[in-house]
Amino acid sequence: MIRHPSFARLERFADRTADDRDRSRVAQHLASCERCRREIAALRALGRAAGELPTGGELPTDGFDRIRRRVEGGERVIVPTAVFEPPRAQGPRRWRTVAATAMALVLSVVVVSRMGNLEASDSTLELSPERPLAGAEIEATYRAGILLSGEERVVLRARLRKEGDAEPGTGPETRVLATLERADDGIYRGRFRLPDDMVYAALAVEATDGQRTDANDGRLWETWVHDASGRPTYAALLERTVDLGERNWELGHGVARELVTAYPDSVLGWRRLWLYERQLTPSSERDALERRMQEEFDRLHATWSGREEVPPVIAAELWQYAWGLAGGRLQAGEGSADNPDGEGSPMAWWRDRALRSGSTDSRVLAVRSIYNLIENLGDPARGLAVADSLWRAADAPDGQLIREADILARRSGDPAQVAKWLRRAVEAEPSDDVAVGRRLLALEGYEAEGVAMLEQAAARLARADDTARPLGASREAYREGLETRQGVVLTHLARGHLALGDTGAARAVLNDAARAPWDASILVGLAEGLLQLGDTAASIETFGRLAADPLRTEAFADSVRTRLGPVDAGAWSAAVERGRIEVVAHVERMTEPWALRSRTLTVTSAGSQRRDLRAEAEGRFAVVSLWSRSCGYSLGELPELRRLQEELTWRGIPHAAVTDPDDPRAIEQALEEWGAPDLDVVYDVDGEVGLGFNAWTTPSHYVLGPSGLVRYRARGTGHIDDVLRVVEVLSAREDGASDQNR
Amino acid sequence: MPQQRPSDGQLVRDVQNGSMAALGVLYERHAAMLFRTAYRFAGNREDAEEVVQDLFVGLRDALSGYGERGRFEAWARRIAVRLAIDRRRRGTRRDRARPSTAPPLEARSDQSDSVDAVALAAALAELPDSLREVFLLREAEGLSHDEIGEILGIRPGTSMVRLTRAKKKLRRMLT
Repeated sequence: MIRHPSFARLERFADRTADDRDRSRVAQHLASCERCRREIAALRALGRAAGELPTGGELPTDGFDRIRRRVEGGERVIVPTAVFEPPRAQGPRRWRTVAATAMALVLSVVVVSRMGNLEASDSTLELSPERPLAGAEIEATYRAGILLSGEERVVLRARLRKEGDAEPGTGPETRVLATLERADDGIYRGRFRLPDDMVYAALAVEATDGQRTDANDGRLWETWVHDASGRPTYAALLERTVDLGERNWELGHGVARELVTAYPDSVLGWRRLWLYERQLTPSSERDALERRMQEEFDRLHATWSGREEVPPVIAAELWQYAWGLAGGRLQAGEGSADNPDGEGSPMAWWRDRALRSGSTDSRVLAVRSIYNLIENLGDPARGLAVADSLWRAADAPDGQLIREADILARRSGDPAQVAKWLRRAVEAEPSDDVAVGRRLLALEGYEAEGVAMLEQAAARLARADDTARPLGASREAYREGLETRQGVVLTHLARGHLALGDTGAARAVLNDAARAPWDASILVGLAEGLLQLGDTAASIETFGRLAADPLRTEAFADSVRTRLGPVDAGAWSAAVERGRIEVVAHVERMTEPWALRSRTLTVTSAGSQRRDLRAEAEGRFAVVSLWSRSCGYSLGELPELRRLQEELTWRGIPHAAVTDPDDPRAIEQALEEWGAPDLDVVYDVDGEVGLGFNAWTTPSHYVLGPSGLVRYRARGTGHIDDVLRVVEVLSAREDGASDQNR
Repeated sequence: MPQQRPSDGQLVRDVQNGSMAALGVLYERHAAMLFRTAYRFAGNREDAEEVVQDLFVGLRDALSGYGERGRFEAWARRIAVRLAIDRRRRGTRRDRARPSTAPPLEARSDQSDSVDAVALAAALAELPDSLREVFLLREAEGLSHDEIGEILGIRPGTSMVRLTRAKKKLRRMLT
C-alpha cells in the first residue's frame, strides 16, 4: 500500500516551508506519485490566485484633503502599533534567575541519562517536625528501596533557597545537609539543623559516592519554614512556587494560588499567579482573566496606596503589574484606558513612588530602565549613558537592565558598546559566557575576545564541581552532561580559532571536542571544523558517523557527497558503521527496562471508545505521551508532540497522546490555539495510564517494548528527538535480532 | 541642482515634527497600496477608505512606536491590516460585500491558473475569520509566519496550522 504524505506535509512543501528532512521525503515521493504532484500544483495555484484577488479600485482623489481637515481640526486617532508577543512556551520563566535556567538546562540534559528504577520510588523520607521554624533541628528517617538499601550510610543532599533567591543577582545553592546511618532495623536516620536563612529546601538521598541517587522518582522531597502559628512563611511559599514551577507546572501553579490565599496583599504573588494563568487561559476567556487581574490590581492599589510606608520594591512591583495589564504600552499625556501611565493614573503614581525612593534595588531600577529604553530608543547614545548610570547604581547586576542596554547598544551600531554590555552580561551571570562568546565572535573586531570568552566557558565547565550537580543526577550522569556541553562549546571555539587564522589551535580544540560523548550537534561542529581545516577525509568520516543518526535521511548522505565530491564507498560505510555503534551505545545509556505498574492501560477516545494501549502495543514498540491542558510546558510543546505523532505514524509505530479527563471542546480549542489541531488525543479516564507509568508530571514520554516493558522515559520538554532515536535504534536492533533468530 | 527625493525615513521625521507636507508625500506614496491591503481584509471599499483615513490621521502619534525598525511601508501595512481586521470583526459595515456586489475585477494576468480569482474570493468569504486572515496575510501579502504572528497575536506555529486548514477547506470548496 502506498503511503502518501499528509496534506499538511504537502502544503508545507508547496509553501516552501518544509524542513530539509520533510522536503527530501516528499520530493522522493513526488517522483513517483502523480496524485500528489497534482495536489502540489493545485496548492500553488491557490497562492497565485490570491495575488489576483479584487483590490477595491481607486482611492477617492480628495482623500488627503479629508485627512488634513481632520488633523488640523485636532482629531486624534489611536492606531495599533504594538507588535504582539504571542504567548510563549516557557512558562514562568520571566522570574527565573538565569542560574536557575542554566540549572534546568543541565537537568534536562542529564535526567534522562539515568532514569533510576521503580524500586527507588518505593523509598520514603520523613522529616520531623513537618512544619519547621527557621533554623530548626530536623530529624530525618529514610526507608530505602532496592537502589540504596545496601549502603551503610547515605547522604541527604539539598537545594536550599533563601528569601530573594528567585530574584536577580542570587540563586539557590546545593549541598549535603546530613549523613544518615543505617540502623539494625535497616532504617537510615540522622539529624541536621536548617540553615538560618533557608526558607525552602528540595531534597534527594544519595550514596556517599554520588553514583546512585534517590530523587523520589524525580519528585524530590521538600521542607519549608513556617511561622509560630504553623503557617508557611511568605518567603517559603514564594521560593516553593519558583522551585516547583521548574519541575511540575501544575504543582507550582497550585502553590502560587496558595500563596495569594495566605498572603492576599502580596503583589509579587499575584503577578506570579497571573503568569501561570495567562499561559493556561484560552483566548476565548482572556477578557475575563484580564478583568480579574484588573480587579485585583485595583484592590492592591487601594490597599498599598493607603499605607504611609511602602517599600520601594513593592512600588516597583505594582508598577510592573500595571504595566503588564497595559500590555507593555506607554504613552505620554493624561491617564486613560488608552494611556495607562498618563498623569493621574495608578501606574504613573507607582512609577513616581518607585523612582523617587532613590532605591538602588535592581527591581526598582528596572522601572527606570524600561522607561529609558522606550524614551531613548531613538537616541541610543543617551539611553546608553542612562543605562550606564543605572548599572553603576544597582545593588546587584541585573539581567533585565542588561537586556535593555543590549537593545540600545545594537541600535547604536557601536560595537564597543555592544561588547561592553556583553561583558557585563557575563559579570551578572557567568554561565552566559557561551552565548556571549558566540556573539563576540560575530562582532567585527572582537573575534579574539570571543575566543577568550569561549575558552573561559570551556574551562568553567571543565572545573565545575559537585556543588552545581542537580538533585537527582548521579555524578557520572552529571559529568557526562558537562562533557557534552563542553564539547559543544569547543566546536564554537574551533570556529573562532579558524576565524582568527589559528589552525593549530583549532585542530587541538577539535581533537578535544572529538572526545565528548555522542551528540549530533557536536558531530556537526566537528565535521564542519575539519572541513575548514582542509582535512576532508576526517570531515567525511565525521559526517559518516552523523549519517548513522536515525533522524538523518538519505538526503543527508547525498548532500554530503554532493558537497564534498566523490567519497570512497568503503570509507563511508565504515564511518556510518562506527556512527551506528556510537548512537546505539548512546541510546542504551538512556534506556533501562522496567515494568508497568498496571496490567492494562485503558484510555477513552473523544468518541467514547475504550481501548487498552497495552494490548494494542503487544509484540511491538509503541510510544505513550502524557500531556495536560493545565501544564504550560505541555501546551508549549504541543506542536512538537504533533510532530512526534506524525513521525511515529510515518514509521508505523503506534502513538497515544494521553491527557487527563477533560472537556473535548476545551481540548480542541487548546490544540487549535497552540498549533496542534490534528493531534489525535485520548483520555486517561480511569487513571490507569498515570498509575501504570507512575507519572506525576507532564509532559512525559514512554517507549514501550514488544514484551510490554517500558524501555525509556523522558520528563519535561525537548526530548522528542530522543524519543524518536530510541524507537528507531531499539526497533531496528530488535528487528535485526528477530531476523537472525529465524 | 535637482532636488533629491526625500526618503521615507526623512519624511517620517518631518511628520513627527508636525509637517503636513511630509504627511502628504507619504500619503501619495503609500495610500494606494494601503487601501488595496485594507480592502482585502475589510471586504468593502468604505471600510478600506476609513482604514486609510484613520491610519494617516493617527500617524504622527503612532510614529513614536515606529523606531525605524524595518521599512515604513511594511510597518504601515501591518497597521492597515490590523485596523481592517478590527473593523471587520466589529462589523462596522453590516452589508459586507459579497462577490456579486464586488467592483469589476481588474484585468487578470494571463498567467492565472486553474483557480479563478472570483471563485477564490467567494470561497474566502465562507472561511472563518481566523483562517481567512492568515491565508490573505501569507498568500496575498506575502508575510512570513513570524510577521503574521506579530500582527494577529498568535504563534508562528499556529499561523502555519491555520494556513494549512485554510487551504484544505479552500481546496474542498473549489474542486
